[in-house]
Amino acid sequence: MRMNFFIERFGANGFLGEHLWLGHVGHFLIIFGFFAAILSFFAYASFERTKDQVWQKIGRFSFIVHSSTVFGIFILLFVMILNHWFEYHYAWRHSSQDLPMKYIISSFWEGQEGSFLLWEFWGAILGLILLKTAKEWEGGVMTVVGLTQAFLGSMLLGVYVFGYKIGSNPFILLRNEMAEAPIFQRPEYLTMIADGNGLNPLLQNYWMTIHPPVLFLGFASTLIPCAYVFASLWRNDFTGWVKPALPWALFNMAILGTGILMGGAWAYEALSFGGFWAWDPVENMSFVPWLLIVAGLHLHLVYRYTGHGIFSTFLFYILGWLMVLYSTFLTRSGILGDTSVHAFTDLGMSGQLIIYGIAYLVPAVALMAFRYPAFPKMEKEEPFFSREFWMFVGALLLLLSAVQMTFTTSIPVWNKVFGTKLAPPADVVSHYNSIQLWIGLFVAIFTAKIQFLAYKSSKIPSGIKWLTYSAAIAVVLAAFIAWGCDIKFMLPIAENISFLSPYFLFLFASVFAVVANLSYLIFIIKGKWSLSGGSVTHFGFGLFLVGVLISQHKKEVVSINTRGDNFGKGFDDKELVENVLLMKDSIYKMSGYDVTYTGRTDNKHEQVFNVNYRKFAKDGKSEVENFTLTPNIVRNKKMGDSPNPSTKHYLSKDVFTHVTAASDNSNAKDTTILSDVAVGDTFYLNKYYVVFESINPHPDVEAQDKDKLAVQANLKVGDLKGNVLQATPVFFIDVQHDNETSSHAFESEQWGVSFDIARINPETKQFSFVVHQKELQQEFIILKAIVFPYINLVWLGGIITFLGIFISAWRRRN
Amino acid sequence: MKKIHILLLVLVAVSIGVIVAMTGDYTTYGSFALSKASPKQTLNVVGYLQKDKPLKYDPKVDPNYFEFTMSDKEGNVQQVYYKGAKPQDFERSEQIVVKGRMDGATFHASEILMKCPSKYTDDQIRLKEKEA
Repeated sequence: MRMNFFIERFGANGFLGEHLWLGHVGHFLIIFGFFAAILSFFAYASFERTKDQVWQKIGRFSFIVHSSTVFGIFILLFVMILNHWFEYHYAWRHSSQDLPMKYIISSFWEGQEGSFLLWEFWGAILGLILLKTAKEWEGGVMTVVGLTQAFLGSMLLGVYVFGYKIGSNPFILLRNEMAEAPIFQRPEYLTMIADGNGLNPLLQNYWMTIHPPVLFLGFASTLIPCAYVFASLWRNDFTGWVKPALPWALFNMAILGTGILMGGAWAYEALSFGGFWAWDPVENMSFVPWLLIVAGLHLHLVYRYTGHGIFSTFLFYILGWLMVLYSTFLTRSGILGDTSVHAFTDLGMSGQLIIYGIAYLVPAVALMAFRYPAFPKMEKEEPFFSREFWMFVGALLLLLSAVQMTFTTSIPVWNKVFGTKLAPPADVVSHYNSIQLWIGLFVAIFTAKIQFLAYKSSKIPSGIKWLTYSAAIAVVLAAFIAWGCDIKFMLPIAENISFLSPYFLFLFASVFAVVANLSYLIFIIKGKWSLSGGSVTHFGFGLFLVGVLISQHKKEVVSINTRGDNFGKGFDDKELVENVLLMKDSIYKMSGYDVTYTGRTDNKHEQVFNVNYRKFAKDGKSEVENFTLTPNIVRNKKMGDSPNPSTKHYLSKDVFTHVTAASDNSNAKDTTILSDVAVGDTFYLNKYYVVFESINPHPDVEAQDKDKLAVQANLKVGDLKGNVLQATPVFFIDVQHDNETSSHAFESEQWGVSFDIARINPETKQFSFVVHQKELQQEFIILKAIVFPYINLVWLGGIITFLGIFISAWRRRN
Repeated sequence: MKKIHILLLVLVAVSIGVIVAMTGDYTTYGSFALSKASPKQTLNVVGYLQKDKPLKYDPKVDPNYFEFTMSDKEGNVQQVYYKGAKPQDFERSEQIVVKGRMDGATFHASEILMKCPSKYTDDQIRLKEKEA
């Protein structure tokens, strides 16, 4: 028994080349760090209760120890992956030797364990900052942070308690994870593992390097406003938390928003989903906490300036964090398996995740109920034209948006709980759009007007005239944009009845938000940067919405197939088909573009396709656009092929192209046999002529052929354009081994031709050649091409929004 | 009662109304047998590709027509077509979810979601025929 333990632990059975120390240290740090976090939680809780400074010291000390272990684990996991120590399952499973540095970093968080660690890492850093800066709130806030760090740390424990596995240890050995594989019977097994499993080619993208860290910083920082709420409820002090929590909420909103938008940029740029947002469950569930935080932040401001809305502020911040946990549960429990493309696979930790949710939910409900009578109540009602009234309405709309998304995304949960067999809507996009478009429309209008209203006052402020002017300008501008981008003003809602199109109304509302906030910036606060945070944010958000509407509503699939099928009169939109076959070197007309597939390059792991786009002016002569896109298909034997799109970016639009399939020419060969050819002869192939120029009896050959008799044929190959290729196949006779013959063919990938010597007649000195020619005429690709107009407004608007939030956070940093 | 409370009540009522109304959009999981019984209903069928049956995809004839045979979890074998390009690595799929309805004797899938376990990974590729 004891012996087994040692063999298991220290490789006494003599496995060679393993670096077991790393796993032992790593697992020790995981367990030690977990208990340090628990200690910090208890110590801080006692400090908050007793105000005894000794507890504070213990809390601080144990949190610093905890953070050090987290950094240690972080470094160890990197060392393991960087060095390709494939004796560890995590390194083997997620990385391989040929990965460049940026993807090695990505493979760190490809797995659940690494991404929990990343989250815990940010939690530790935020905790250390709070420990320094939270002052009188340190006790309460750090209690919550300590508990959260313990929960996150437990996801890595990898220990069994009463037969239930708690957490998954990233330092587990490959030979333990797959113990039944026969390779592990051999002490030198490590030398037999050629390479790691590698990073999924879909994830081999620089966004995978930067999007997860930002997103997890967003998740980690969602805790902080919520932690202040818990601290405030616990202490029964409803005013002190308001100022210090505000910059955290702003920071959280900016970072989480940036992380989500980066995910959108990745989906748009690198994945073939055809857009930056697909209403996929995983996307929705990262967006829902953000909506709640945005609502919470506005209520937070209302509470700060008017004293109204303490209950709803608390509610939204708590809900924001609970939805982060719920989203973690959905994406990591495997429950979304049938409905989402990018959920994690199950690691058997869903029970743990549910317990964590309850661990916040129950105290939150209890504290809110217990403290409710003590909440400051305002006698006076919010005046109708006050800022706070409309902020409440806006927050409710955001809640409605979050509820719809959560409800539909939770379909698999309803099925589990109620035993139903529901499935997502037939048309997911219109299911969400039909609600979210209207919510977005009203949110945009509130975004436009809110700054012009004053807190606690029903008096119309004098600046309101600028709002009226802005609305007038927005109507004209929106009409102009709609005309320019061909967005219909009216849409039929019933027979013979048309009404203003919701798309046009949405466009107007977003343009209104842009113009109104711009005028507020210029005429009301007169460009004072310190006060500009809100208007800059709202201006950017309006711009973002304009971009979303135009780029999505007017997105045009240019590769609509009109060949093959004769669509005729009964043309059904649903049956439009978006893939087009392009034969090599033929010109296809697509929405004003002349598109030509000009050929491809075969690299080691990928095929790159060259697709040329040209557009001519109306006179048909002068060329206005000419560019070549290079979408590719990465061939990965283990994980399958994955196409990567290629996009031409213009200021006003993007032309997006991806290859869904390509002809496979490797087998299509045309073979010609040329018998008994003598020096000086010329012969003709399909596309080439060949001259048998001379024989070289002493060619340069490789070492293993030195002892053989070698003869090289010098062939001159030419095509009709005057290109010339020297082909030099070699023929060998092994005089030491019964005159066994062999040959070394000459191949040219570029010309798609190969020459081999089949036979030499020693008497006549005539040669017989075997010529393979690739069947190049058959080469084709299947292409999908989409034009996204004004997509840059989405990115620009997003960036300005987050800059505006940072301006606000900076102003309130103390 | 404050204005905001009335508004709150209205919004709660609206949300419940909307959510109930929107569940009408939801589809359900089912078998091919069920789909044949109610051909107008859009169903999600979970099943497996019949790898011994031929896959029909000839892009030179029509790059947007792909036909295959799959069996659902009850064992009903069904011819399925999809108006789009053949998904990359379709042959390797372990499990497929098709969303659509019967079109005569063939099942018309408007969306395919496939699971490709690459031995130790569990990756999915979702394909859409046409976005609205």
